[in-house]
Amino acid sequence: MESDLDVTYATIMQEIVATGVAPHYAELAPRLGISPNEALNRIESILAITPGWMHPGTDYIASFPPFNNQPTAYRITVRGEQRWFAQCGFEALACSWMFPGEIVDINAPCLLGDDSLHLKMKDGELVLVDPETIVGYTRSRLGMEEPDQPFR
Amino acid sequence: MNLFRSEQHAQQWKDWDQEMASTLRPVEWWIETFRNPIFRNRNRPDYLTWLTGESGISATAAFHDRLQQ
Repeated sequence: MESDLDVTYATIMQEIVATGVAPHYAELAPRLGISPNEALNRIESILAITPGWMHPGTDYIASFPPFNNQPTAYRITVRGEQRWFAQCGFEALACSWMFPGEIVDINAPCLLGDDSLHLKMKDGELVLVDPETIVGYTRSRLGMEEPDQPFR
Repeated sequence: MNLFRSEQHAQQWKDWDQEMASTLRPVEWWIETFRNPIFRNRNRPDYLTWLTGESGISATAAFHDRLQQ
């Protein structure tokens, strides 16, 4: 049985998967048959229990993982269309779960100015990695309990 | 949370922090980490109910445990 928050989460996620863009709360409200204030309250409740966030000082969804509404260095391409951005390099690796059965291309620049990085994934499996030496690294703590840490 | 061409590239990054060197892992390790159901299940219509229930809490704990390896 889905809760109101489940339905709201799924509606936002489906919109991002379809268009690459998260809906504004005032756009979300009529789709759910609720008031704009209620839509905003639900978005805030969802972001309190998932590693997403609003752009500071606004009512705009900035990040709704694995995607980012604000462009990042991690471009996601599906069926030849680059509509999506991943929240970060790690969440880029989770994007293929949102496109079952599809090849998902991840393209990112090298942060040191060398040649760019390219990965292809399908249903969580690595199809291509270029170069083969790609690594992940974070200077942020992951999986911690602090409310301001990602992946809480 | 970034991807780099190689270990050497990561270590030369302007924001490299030796205290977090344990997070430097091959991309294949991070792909396996992000196979956890908390990421795989985001398409579920009841995702938040699942995430905050027994199975989701268990999967989140497994994710945290893997990060501590």
